[in-house]
Amino acid sequence: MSSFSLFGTSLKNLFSKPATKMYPAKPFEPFEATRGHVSIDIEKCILCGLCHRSCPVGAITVVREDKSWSIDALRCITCNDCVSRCPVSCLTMEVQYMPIAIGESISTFVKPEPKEEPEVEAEAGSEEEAELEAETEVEAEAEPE
Amino acid sequence: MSERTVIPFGPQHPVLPEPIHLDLVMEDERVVQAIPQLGFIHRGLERLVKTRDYMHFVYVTERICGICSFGHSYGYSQTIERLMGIEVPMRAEYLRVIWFELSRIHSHLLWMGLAADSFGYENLFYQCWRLRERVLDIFEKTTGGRVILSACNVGGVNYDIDNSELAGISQIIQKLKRDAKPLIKALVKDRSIKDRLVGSGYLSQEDAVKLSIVGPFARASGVEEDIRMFGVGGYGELAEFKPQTSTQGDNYARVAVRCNELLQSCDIICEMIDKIPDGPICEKPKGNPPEAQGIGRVEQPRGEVVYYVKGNGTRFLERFRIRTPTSQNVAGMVQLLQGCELSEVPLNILTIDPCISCTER
Repeated sequence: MSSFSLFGTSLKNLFSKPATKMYPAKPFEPFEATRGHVSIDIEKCILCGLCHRSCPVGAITVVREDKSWSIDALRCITCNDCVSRCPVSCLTMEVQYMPIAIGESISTFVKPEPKEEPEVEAEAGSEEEAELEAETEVEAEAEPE
Repeated sequence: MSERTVIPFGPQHPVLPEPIHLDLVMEDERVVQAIPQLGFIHRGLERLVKTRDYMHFVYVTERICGICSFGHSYGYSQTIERLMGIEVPMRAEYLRVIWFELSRIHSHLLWMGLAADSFGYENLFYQCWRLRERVLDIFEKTTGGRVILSACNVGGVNYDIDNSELAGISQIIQKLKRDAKPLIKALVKDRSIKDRLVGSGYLSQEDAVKLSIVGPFARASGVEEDIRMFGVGGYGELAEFKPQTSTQGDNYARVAVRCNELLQSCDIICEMIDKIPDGPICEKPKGNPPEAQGIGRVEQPRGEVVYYVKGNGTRFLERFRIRTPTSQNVAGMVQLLQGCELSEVPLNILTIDPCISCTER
C-alpha cells in the first residue's frame, strides 16, 4: 500500500508543457487523413451517379438531366465511400469540418457546358453511362418491395 | 424488521454515462433488492438491416455504441464473411487486431478515468483521459475519424497503414505503456483506493458461471474465458495469449484485471506491428449473402458479443441480432447490489462497466 502515489506524476506535470492546445490563440491543425467534408471538382465530374448509389445515407443526389450534383451536409456521415468509388477522382475528402448549417444544408453544383472538344468527351461519357445503366437495372431488380 | 423504502436511481445520475434506471428497495442504509429498468435509448438499429444493403449496414453497426464502435463493425464483418465464405487478406486481419486492441486501450482508459472520478480521485481521472487522447489521435491519423472509424468493412479494411507509420504507432504505444504504469500503480496500490475497493461488490466464481457473466467482470471472479484465446482472425497469429484473471471477485479485482488487460493490449499491438505481412487489404465480396444463418463472436472491451445474421439471397439481410456483454452482466450487477450499502451502489454499478447503448441498440 502506498499513499500519494501520483505525487511524482503531478510534480512532472507541474513543470511540463500543457496537454491541451491553446485554441483559439493557436489555430487547430487537423491530421491529413481527417474526414471533414466531401467536396467536388464539378468540372471533372462525369455525372455517372456511382456516388449517388453508393452513399449509405442517401446524402448525394445526381440529376443527369440538370447536370447537377448535390450533397446534404447534415445527412453525410463522411464514410469516404463516394470518394473511394469515384472513377474520375473528382470527389475529395477535405480535412476541415463543415461550418454549422443555418437553414438549408443542401449544396448543389451544376456542371458547366464543355467548351472544347465536346465530341470526344461525350463519347467517353456515353460508354460509361451505358455500362452504369445496365448495372442500375440489375440492382433495381434486387430491390425489395 | 425495519421499514422498507424504494429509492429511484437513474436514469440521470452523475455516475452513469448512459441511462439505466434502478429501483433500490432499501432497509435503512442497506439495499435489499435492486430492480433494473432498461429501454431509454432503444433506437431499433437491428430492424434497419432490412432496409440497408449488407455492405452499408456496417456503418449502422458502428453507430451502435461510441466506445465499442470498431468492435461492432469488426464482429459484423467477421460474421458476414463467415456466412459468405470470404477469405480476408492477412494484412487486413492484422490491421483489424491493431485497431481493435487500440479501441480496447481507449475503452479501458476511459473506464479507469470514470472509476477514479466515481471514488473522488479527480487527478487520476484527468491523467487517464489524457493518455486516452493519444489513442484517439492514432485513430484520427490512420482512419480519419476519432470515434466512428469506418475502417472495417466486409472483406477487409478500408484504409492501409504504411509500415513507417506502424513503427511510429509502436513507439507511441510503448511510451503509452510506460506512462500508464504510474497510473496503474496508483489504481492498484494506493491506500485510499484500496480502502474503497477491496472486499466490496463481491461475486463468486459459482455465481459468475451461473449467471453467464462475461468479460473482465467474469475474469475478475476467476472465470478463465476470453474469445481472443480461440485465435479467430488475426488473434491466431499471436505467439501466446492468456486471459487476465483474478480470483478475488471484488471491485478491486475488476480494476486490477482491466489494468492488466490494458498492458496486455499494448503488447499485442507491438507484436502485431512486428509481424505484419505485406499484401492486399481488401477482398471484394461477390454476390449476396446466401439463404443461411451465421454466428460470430468477438471479445469486446466489456466482454463477449454474439452476432447472429440470417441471409435470404438478396443484398438485404433477413435478420440481425446482437447479444451484448452488458445484457449478461446486468444480472450480475443486480446480484452485487443486493445487500450492499447505499454509498457503494454507484461504484458497484460502475465496476461492471455497463454499456447501455450496446444493450438497447
